Amino acid sequence: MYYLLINSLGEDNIEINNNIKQQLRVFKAYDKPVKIVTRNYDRFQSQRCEQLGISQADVINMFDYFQETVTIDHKKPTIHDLPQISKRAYEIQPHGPNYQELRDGGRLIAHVQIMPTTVGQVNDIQYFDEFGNISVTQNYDWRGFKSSEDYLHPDGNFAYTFWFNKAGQRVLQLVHMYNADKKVIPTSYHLENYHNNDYLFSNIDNLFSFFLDQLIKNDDQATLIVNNPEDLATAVQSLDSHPRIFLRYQHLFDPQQVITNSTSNRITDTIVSNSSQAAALREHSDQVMPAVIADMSLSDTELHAEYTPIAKRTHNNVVAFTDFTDDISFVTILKAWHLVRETIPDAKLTLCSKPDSRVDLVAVFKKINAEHLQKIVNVVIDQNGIDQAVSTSKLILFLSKFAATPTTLLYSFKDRIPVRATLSSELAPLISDMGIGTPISSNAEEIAKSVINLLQNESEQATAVQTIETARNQLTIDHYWQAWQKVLD
Amino acid sequence: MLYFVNFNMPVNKSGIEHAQLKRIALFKAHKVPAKIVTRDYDPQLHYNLKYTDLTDDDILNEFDYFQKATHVKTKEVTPADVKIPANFSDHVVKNWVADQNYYEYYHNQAIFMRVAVFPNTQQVAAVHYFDTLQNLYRVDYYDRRGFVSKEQYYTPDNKVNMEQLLRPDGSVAVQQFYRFDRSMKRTTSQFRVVNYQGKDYEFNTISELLRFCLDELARKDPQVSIFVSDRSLVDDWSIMHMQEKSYKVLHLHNSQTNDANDPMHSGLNYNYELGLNNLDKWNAIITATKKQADNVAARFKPQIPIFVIPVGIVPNLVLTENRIPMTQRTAGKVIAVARISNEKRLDDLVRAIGQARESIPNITLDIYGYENSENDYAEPKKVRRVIKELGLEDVVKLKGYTNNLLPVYQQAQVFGLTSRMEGFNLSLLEAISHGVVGETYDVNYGPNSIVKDGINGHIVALGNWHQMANNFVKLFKNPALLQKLSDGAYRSAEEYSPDNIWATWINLIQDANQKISDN
Repeated sequence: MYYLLINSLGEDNIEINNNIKQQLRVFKAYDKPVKIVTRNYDRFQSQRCEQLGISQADVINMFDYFQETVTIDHKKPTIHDLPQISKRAYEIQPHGPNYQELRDGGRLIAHVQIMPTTVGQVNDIQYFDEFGNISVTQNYDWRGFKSSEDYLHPDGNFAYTFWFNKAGQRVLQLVHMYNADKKVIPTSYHLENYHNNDYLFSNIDNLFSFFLDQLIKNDDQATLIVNNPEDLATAVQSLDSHPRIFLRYQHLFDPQQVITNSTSNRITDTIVSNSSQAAALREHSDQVMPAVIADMSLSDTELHAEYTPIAKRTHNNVVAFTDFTDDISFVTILKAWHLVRETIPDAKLTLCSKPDSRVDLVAVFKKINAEHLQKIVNVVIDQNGIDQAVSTSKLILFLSKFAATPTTLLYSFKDRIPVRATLSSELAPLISDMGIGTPISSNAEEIAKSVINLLQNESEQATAVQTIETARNQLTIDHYWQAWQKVLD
Repeated sequence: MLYFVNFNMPVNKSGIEHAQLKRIALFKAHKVPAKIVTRDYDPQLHYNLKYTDLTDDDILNEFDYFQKATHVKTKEVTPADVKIPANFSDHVVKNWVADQNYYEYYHNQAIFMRVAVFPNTQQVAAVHYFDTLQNLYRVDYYDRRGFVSKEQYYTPDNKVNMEQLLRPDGSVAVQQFYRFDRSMKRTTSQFRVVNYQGKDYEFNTISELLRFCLDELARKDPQVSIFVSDRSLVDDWSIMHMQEKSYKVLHLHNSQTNDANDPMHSGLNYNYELGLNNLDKWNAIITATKKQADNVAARFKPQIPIFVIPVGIVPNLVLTENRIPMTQRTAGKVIAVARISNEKRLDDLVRAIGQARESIPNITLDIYGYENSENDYAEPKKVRRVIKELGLEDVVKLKGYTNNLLPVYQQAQVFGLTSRMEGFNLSLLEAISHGVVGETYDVNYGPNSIVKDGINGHIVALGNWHQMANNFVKLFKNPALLQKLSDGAYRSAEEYSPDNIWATWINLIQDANQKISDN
């Protein structure tokens, strides 16, 4: 079995989600036994599967595994359906579509949050004491069962999380206590009564290692393809079992760490997205000979799907994939857009990014406002928003180093939208190699010049589209599988 | 069914627990269903029943009730039965720490578990769990019957954060939280009853929880439910606020006023203030003596009956036992059976003994009872200081608490009582039933009813220990008088025979049946 490892299918992992969809599709297309394996707790995972078009049968989550809820009927209980709520003792007060309250003679007993996009399905229930402190928060899985409970310390810090199996028995505890610096952090996972034994783990890596060992213990053909290796490499190197392990890097955030991980004797091979990443690693170490696979393929249906030709895209809309932690590229694109607007007054820009907890979006909008570009420059960080922005654009820009992965280029290939990447972008070499564009300098003037040339020059647009048409031939699933086969064999 | 409500049934019992035990024996003898209901969690409750004649059928703890643990067969759980994390099992070091009565378990030199055992056994009492940074985060308390009955979770600064009371099958029955109140003081902030007959319930306080428990008992009781508040401060609110139909009885085990000897004007005893100010919420009052009943009636004019039911019952076996003449007892032996606390004023008794000793050189005093720890054992320290000041170290002995007073009563000649107030005083009754002569202050309520001046002892004015000393001298210098009063003591105990006491309970039960069926 091939196991495609990933942190989660959550919305904050949209970039890798698209990569893994590519991987899942090609392995299934060639009848290879394959499962996506997710590590993080995500009670909305089944909803995400629906949104991503991934069958739940193709995914196994670590917490679901221990909770024995990998497969479970989907129910949609409202607060009125939950048997433990005494309607005789408490009054259920509705407050619009988002929440309800349980009250006892006016005193707030519990706040019932409703699942977004549902009619009354219970999302979580927070119980309060008479002083307004939260006693416990009961978290419901999208599939309609109580999946976990959160408890707080009196000072409001997280204290414990309990996870439950279908029968409501606790199977796992996470404890938050002091570290050496007296900061409250997650300090232990306590797995209970798993095959009649208890286990104690110091962190999620140890728990994940144990889980993987359990998952593959009867599978001597197990092959682990580790997406998110930045987070998951430690766990796979500590396995008791000996599967083949491939570390699949989309970005080289920390080349030295990549080399350290890749040279572990537990790692079968390292895979990067383009030849320049491979070259960069080889520069750092002659012991690392990474394979190169770009997670980019188009099915026959996608190859022959209808699209809106660039000539019919009437607005001068441009999409730019950027990374808001990269201040320089953000400032540069705003400056460039002032220059673009001098020539093309109706040119509009959508800045696309993956969600990143390090980014203060308020500060991002403040910068845009300060440049008086709020009516011209939009920001989206979700899959639907990105899809919508791309569907009307004439040009896709890749501005900062870690702004996108090769899968993002599929927007261009599906809709024949010209692309331009700055020299700093990791995608620039790939774009060059495929002959669909030449890198541009990272300064505002060059970016503006490149955008103006493309938007104003129909023959330039036609040429760009033609190169894309040509390159599409390299994106068949066969091509893509051959790349994987070469590495896996 | 009658329910006698209290906080617990500890090994060291006060007069209220002793009264309840005697009462249960009486009800069992007459085959009328009755139970003691206790409020507080106690993992040794059922084990400690061996110090009583109670069985699991005679007592019901509210947590046991929700935990479905009122009747659990005892099984042995030893440290070997406690699960060690399977991923540690190859490299575990186990140490016995004798002075703490627990085993410590180490993995890679880091402690991950402690298993405490009950004294002198290998039965697990508690398991302490540590995280991988060696913070104590949870303690599992084992019921003495061999199952985890409580999980206690800790904060990083080692305070209790949350507790879960478990059923023997491991499921959660009750959660108890400790949070900051409005003045930022950590307090018990909530009780959650989980999956009780399929429902969850929330309560702010243990009194609300007890109210719910008592209501459930009443709801399921096919007979008229009678609830007796035996420990007012613990249970009166809960009984008063019950919603199910039941007969509610306020039992005054002590004086209803702070100054027992000024019943018409003194401030109310805080134990009974709430109950007495809400007499419309009760169906009856019990006092142990007629004098107290008269005083309550005069001051409060209640519209409910007051039943005089002595809390002491002298078993027929005692009433018919062979009498021990004074000549066969220890000459000059005075005893007191009382906890050493301020209201018992035992320093007066010591002073009386000191004065009497000038005339009766062989007089001795043995004091039986536990030492009250209030104010850093202020009262026991005071009593010891007086003993020392009077040079009575060889005369007055503090014997501590004992469960076996029979040989004490059989060897004593006089029982001394110098309290400021009493509700009854079972020990005095027990003493006279074994022929011990009573010497008591004229104290409300109980002592001045149990002791009949010149019949089975003497009543002296409150605080007049000189007079008590004179009485000791008179008694020990006059063997005939001593024997006469001892004979009187044996006889006077018949007033408290099971038949006499049962007759008073029957009156109460009949009233309950009539009133509840009338409703």
